[in-house]
Order: sequence, then C-alpha cells, then structure tokens
Amino acid sequence: MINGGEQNRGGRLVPSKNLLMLERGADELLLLNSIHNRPLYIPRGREQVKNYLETACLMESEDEVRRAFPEDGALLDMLLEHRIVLYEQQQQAGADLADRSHLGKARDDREAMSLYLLLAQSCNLGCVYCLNGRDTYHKDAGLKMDERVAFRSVERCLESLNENGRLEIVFFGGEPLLNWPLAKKIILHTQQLSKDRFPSRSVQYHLTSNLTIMPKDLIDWAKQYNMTFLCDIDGPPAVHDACRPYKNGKPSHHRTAANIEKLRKAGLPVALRSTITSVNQDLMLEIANHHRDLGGTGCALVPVNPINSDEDILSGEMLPQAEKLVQGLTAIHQSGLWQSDDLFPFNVYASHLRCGGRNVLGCGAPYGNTPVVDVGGDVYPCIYLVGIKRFYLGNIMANDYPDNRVLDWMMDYLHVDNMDECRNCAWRYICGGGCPVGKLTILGNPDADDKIKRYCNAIRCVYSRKTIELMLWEFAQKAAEQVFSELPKADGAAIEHTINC
Amino acid sequence: MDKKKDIESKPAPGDDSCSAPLRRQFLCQSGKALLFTASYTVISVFAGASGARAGMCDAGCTSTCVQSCTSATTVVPDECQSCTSCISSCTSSCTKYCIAGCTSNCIASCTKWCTSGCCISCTKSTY
Repeated sequence: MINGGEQNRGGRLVPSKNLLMLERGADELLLLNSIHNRPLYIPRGREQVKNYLETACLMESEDEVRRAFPEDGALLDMLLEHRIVLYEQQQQAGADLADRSHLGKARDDREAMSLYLLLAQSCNLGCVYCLNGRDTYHKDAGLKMDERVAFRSVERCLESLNENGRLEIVFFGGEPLLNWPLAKKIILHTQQLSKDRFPSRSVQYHLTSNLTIMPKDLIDWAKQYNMTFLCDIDGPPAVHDACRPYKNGKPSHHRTAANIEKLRKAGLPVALRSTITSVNQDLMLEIANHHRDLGGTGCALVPVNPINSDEDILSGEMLPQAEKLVQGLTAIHQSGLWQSDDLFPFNVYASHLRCGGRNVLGCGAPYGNTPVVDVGGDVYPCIYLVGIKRFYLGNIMANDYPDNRVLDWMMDYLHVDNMDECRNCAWRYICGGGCPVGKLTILGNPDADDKIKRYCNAIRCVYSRKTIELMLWEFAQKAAEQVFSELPKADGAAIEHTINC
Repeated sequence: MDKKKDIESKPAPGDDSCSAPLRRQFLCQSGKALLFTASYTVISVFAGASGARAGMCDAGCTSTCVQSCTSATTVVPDECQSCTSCISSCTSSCTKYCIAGCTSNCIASCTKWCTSGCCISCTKSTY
C-alpha cells in the first residue's frame, strides 16, 4: 500500500524525500512534494512552519506531535494531506517513488500525436546554428518528400490514435514552403481520409517556417483549415540577420517580418521563437518585446541545441551561458510582457504542474508521440534526433516502423529514477528530467567535451528548474489572491462545512 | 513555535469543528484551501485544479504539440471510484487519486462514512 495511511496513523512522521522548500521575500515559503504535486503556499509564518515541520519529524510519533502542539493540528492535517510529511512506514513502502504501470499503457492508448513531415530538407537560409547536417539532410540536394510517403504517414498516425484522438500535422523542413504544393495535397488527402475512415479523430495543421517565402494562396488555405504558424525571429533586425541570413549572406529579417505582418492582418496566429545563443543571450527581454511588437501570438526562447544531425558539435563560443539564460527568463517573466500561457518554456511546465500529476519523462518522444518523417520515409522520435541512426524508428513505408525497442530504451534511459544526475533530485517528478535532447545527442559522442556536457546538463536542469520555480510562485500568488478575495471580512461570519478538496 | 501568539486566536481546546472562528478555519472555494492562524497562513495552491492550458513546445514549435507530450508524460493517477462513497475500509487499500473532494490520504484518516466525499470536518471530528 502506498497512499493510504490508516494503519500507520499515529506513527512516526518523516518529510517527503521529494520535498521542495522554496523561500521568497521576508516570510514566504512554498512546500511541494513533487510526486504528489499539491503545493502549499505559506505567505507568512515561514519560520514557524519550518520549525514545526522540523520538530514534528524529530518526534517519535504523530500522537506525540499532536499532544505537544495541539493548536497546530490543522497544520499537520494539511502537511499530511499534501504529502509534505508522510508516515515513515508509507515512505518505506515506496510512497516517494513513482510506479511504472502507466508507461506501456500510454503508448497503446494515444490521445494525441504530432506528426512532423519534412516536406523539404533544403532551405533558403544559412542559419549559423543550423541543426540540419550536410550529410544526413543532404541539404544541397534539394530533396523533397513524395506524396506517397506523406499520405502513408498521416494514415499510420491516424490508425495509431485512440478513438477520439487528435493528430497535429506539422509541416517542417528544411524550409517546408519550398514544397508548398505537397502541403496542400496532404491537407486535402487528410480531410478526405478523416471523413471516410476516422470521423471521430480531429486533425490540426501547423507550419513551422522561416516565412521568407509567401505563396500567394497560403493565407487562403491557412484560413480555411485553421492553420497555425511558428517562425523564428532571433531578435531585432541586426541580431536576427547575424544569426539567420540568406545562404548568400544577405539579411532576411525584413522579408520575414513583412510576411508575419500579412498573416497577422489576415487574423492568422503566428507564434514567434528565438534560438538563444551567445549572440543574443543578453537581449532576451528585448527579443520578447520584439516578438510582441511583431504581433506574435506566442513567444518561445529556446537555448540552442549544440549538436546537429551529423553529430557535429557547435563551437563553444556560440553557446549561451546558463546564468544569463536564467536572468533573461526571470526578467521576461517578471516583466509581464507575455502571459505564461503564451510564453515558452513557462507554458510547457504549467501543463506539467497539474494537481496530483507527475512526470517521469521530460517529453513525449519516448512514447512515439512526436514522430518525424524525413523525405524518404525514415522516422525518428524527435526533430532534434533526425539522421542519428541509433534513434531510427523504421521506415513509414515498411513494416519495421515503429521499432519500439528504441522507444523502450529511451523510456528506460530517460526515466528520472534511472538517471544518475536526477534520481535523488526532489524536482525530478515535475521537470521529468527536462528536454533530453542534449543528453541523448552527446551520448557516445567522442567530441563532446566537458564544456558541452555541462551546457547540455544546464539546459536540461537549470533552465527547467528556474522556469518551474517561477511558475510555482505565480500559481501560489494567484491562489492567494483568489482565496483572500473570497475570505469574509474579519467581522463576518465563519464559513461552515468547509471541504478541503 | 510561538505558541503564545497562536493561543490568543485559537478556539477553545477541543473545538475542532469547522464552525470555529474565522481566524482558524479551512476554506474551500474555487478549489482552494486555506488555514489561517495568528502565526501563519497556509494555502493549498491547486486543490484539484488543473494547470494552465498547454502551449507550444520548443522543438516542435507548434501551438499544440505540447499536448502530445504532456498527455503522455504528465500522469495523473486514475480516479478512485470506490472512494467516492468513502468508507474507511476502502481507503486502506486505495492507491488511486481520489476525486469528490478527497484525497486518499485524507480518506485514510477518516473513520466516518462519508456520502459526499471525505471532508476535513468529518475527519477532524474523529480526533
């Protein structure tokens, strides 16, 4: 038995091994058992609560605690209920560790998938940090996806969803608009397929593009099929053009910004993303502002991935510093420029912070929920892993897809209770170990030196942890505002029959 | 603990009912719970509420792809059906996540028959 504590009642109390104790200001405290995910916010009385917690866990039994501090019985109830403290026997029975029963089930009963189709593997830009390796992407060969590969990909994904599942088709590249005619064929084929064979599944379309190209009918199609967009804008013109020039070195910002404006005026949602490198690490707040000025519906700030699909490592001089990323992230969050719902990575961790929920993995890739299909039909679990043979999941046109051995390995390797650097960390059931791309791509790479390893770990850990910390305080603040707004005035009547849900 | 401060605002010894004075009560409205004493304030941040809506993810750069991730990675334990009628015998073997206003932990310490979920008032009355 893990949760129930009836036979343990009255026994010795211990703090959860997953206990987070965050402090802020003069008197605030936030307590959270990450596996239980029900935070307690103490806006005042930090030292009193900490002292009580410490003292209670030094005593021999719950009964002794209640006898010693009869006036704090309600506090102990809350601490127990939110699993800040446990009965020692509960902890010994494994209450602080996640079970694994859900892992296989999630893959068999998919609610949602995002299918990435590399419509074209070449691109008209020459970004300084491009992830598409020359060998694996054959960048100069002008490769484009064949419609048979695209149609089969859609069909297989729809088949693997549960009855009311949702498929998101992501047109990706290279630059997908270099193969816009195929995107239109895919949309028409999918609409027909949905109608004929999968009427209960829903489908959404998304385009990730540099938006330097604007087919004349893009807006019409996008409006008709509710397409969403994401475009990379790395900063104001000078910064963006230094990072994302055309292949011939000419600036691209003006063209991209003009096309964003066209989409925005048509009422189409364009989220903006910035790849953070040493070039723009000091400008994160300015970038967030620029995204706002351009009319973005979302803002994402993503530290550069240091390894491309050829497994070449980016120059160390290009990497941002973890402390600057944290500073920038904090400044943006505090600025209120963007609601957390529209600001990556806050929106992702907000979705992790669900009452009673926990995360043993950092993303859906090990479940096979984000397959990426290249022009030839080869499938990989994440866009950052395309071309790396050890993550090859099979070919969409053949019977070898999906190779669940790869996914099983990822699931096992990335489980937070299996990773040496995570298994004793109290944050692990919230962050799920963070984005694992860096960890996966440096694995076995002889060129990955200590600096790269430290960087990958910092992105996975420090960046995630800071985001979660800021989100927890935000949620706590909102909860306090709501509770106090509903609290009767001091001379009002007490609320009776109050249920603690 | 600074007991003196607390005692001034506390109900009479043994008064653990939910109709205790305002400064010492549990509140659950809109999914929030509050404990308020002279020494400290404690607020349950979620108390059954889900987190914010999902947005884009970094790699996929899409507006909804994060749902593909979090629908799999964020595991909320199955709801506990038996506990919605909440008897002490069912809770002792319950490892599920309870709805209907109760958590398995609070049910575990509840020795009363509850018809509408396990509440602090019935739990406390058994102390």
